[in-house]
Amino acid sequence: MKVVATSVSFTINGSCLVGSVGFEFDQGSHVAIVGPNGAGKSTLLRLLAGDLRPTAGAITYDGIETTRFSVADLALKRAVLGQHQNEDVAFSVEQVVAMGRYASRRDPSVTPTDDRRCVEAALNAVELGNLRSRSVTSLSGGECQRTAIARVLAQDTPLLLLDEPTTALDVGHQQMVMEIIDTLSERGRTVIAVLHDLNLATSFDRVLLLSGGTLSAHGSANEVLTSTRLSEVYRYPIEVVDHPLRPGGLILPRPVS
Amino acid sequence: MRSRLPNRAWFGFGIVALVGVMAISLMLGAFSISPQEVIGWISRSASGTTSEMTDRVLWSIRLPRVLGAALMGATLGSVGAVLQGTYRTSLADAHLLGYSSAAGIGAALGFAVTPVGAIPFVPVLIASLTAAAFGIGSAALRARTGTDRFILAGVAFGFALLAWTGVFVLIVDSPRVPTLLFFVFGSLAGATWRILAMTTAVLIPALVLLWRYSPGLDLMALGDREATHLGFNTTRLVPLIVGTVGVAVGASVVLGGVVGFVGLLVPFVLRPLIGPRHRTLIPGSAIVGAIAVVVFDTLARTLAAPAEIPLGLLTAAVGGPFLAWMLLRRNTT
Repeated sequence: MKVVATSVSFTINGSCLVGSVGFEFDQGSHVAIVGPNGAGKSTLLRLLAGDLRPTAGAITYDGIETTRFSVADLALKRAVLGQHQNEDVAFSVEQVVAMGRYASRRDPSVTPTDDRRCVEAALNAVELGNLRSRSVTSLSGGECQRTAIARVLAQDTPLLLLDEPTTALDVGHQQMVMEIIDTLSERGRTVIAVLHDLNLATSFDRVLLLSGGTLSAHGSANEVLTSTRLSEVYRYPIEVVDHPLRPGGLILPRPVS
Repeated sequence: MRSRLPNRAWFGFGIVALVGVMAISLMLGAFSISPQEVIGWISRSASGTTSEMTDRVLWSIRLPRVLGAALMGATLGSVGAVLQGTYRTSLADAHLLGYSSAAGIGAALGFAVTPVGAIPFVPVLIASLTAAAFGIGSAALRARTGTDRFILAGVAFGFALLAWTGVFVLIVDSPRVPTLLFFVFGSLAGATWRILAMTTAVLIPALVLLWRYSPGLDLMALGDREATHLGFNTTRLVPLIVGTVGVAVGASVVLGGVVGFVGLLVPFVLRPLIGPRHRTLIPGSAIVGAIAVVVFDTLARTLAAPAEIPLGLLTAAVGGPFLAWMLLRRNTT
């Protein structure tokens, strides 16, 4: 799905959280949104999800403004991974993942077999097949996060919006998520993820660097994630060093002396 | 995932138990009736001859009352499950959140203009409207408060509405309006065929409608925002759901007054047994709620026979300590 933002702003109670941000993402692109705390990353993601209405400008999915979709239609277009997961009701992992199929019930062409296949594929993608019967109330933080990712995958939408998908995950499972994102964009899904770990952002084909609600830089990882720019935006000396196995280099804060 | 068989077994057992307690309830009371007489009455009813005392007690007093108890229990259990799902807390219930008191004041107003013995159309209408309006209004305020404060506000509103009902009942002082006790501790003593017919006509569609929202109620467990992301329009559907709950509570209050604790405890006890999915939890709570109210109502009219103990006194006597135990033992959310 093609996602376009045209000078999108979001102002609430007089403070501007997102100011005149514009971009165009083609189908199949995977985009990282990075920036310091309070830069407006999550707000931008909520605007992209259609949760919030832009106070100026517009966001379109394949040329249609997000505000024109119903809640049910939006759920067929995009899946959203939030920052916080509620796990206080004792549903099983599989039941929670199957909730991702809620919107597709309205689509007459979707059969129960399709639903089961999607749930199965999602559970396997995040390596939760063996925990399917476990109650989500008994899961570790990382297992909860993987359950939520599987639920988002099961929704099987052309656009995925992920707010810090690697939160609470160990290094191995972080890489698993990055591989899932790669596979999704190979299959033509558009993936937009808010990330805190700049080294994970280097493997995305587009990077948006936000600062104070505005777009500080936008382009390929190599163009955006430079030492000078990052040091300025994060207000801390940050170095990008070459690494033989990492084309984007290794991004490190300068050690406190 | 739980297999289907155990749930089916639970349901089968529940329905058999419900029919069993209803049959036993028919025999017990100020005027006791033997099993042979009940069977004899059923066969005579089939052939159309009813003249004896036993027949009259069974037909015009006991049967509508037992059916009314089952219907009321099914309603309290179902709406308890629905409210707990909607508000993501096992502490939600029509009584605790103030719906019953809102329905009570509406019912009192309606009874005041309805002749004794008439079909209670106006009481059901006003009670359902006031409880639905209360539910929709409180749902709108929910977003601003935490769960604990929301429940306490419901309790506070409930007390105020109950007080106004009491003032109204005492000022009007009409034989048309039930006593204040009915609005505090409920009773099925007044259940007649007319009241039962009127309330059934409202309750069955309301409960079926609520049950149809089961998959969406499941999503609410993930949070309002997540449910919306998954395609369940909480902004539009939560008012519709709590409004329907209000309509059901309104009809149940006209049928048997204000009865607490059933809606709170039944889904709470059942959830660990049959799982949190509303598709099974709502009908499960209906069956167990029906069993509970039939049993309590039987006790209400037999323990101090020929005097009646108000139904809600018994549910509170048992349910109150249970709720306290649950609050102190469990880390409820």
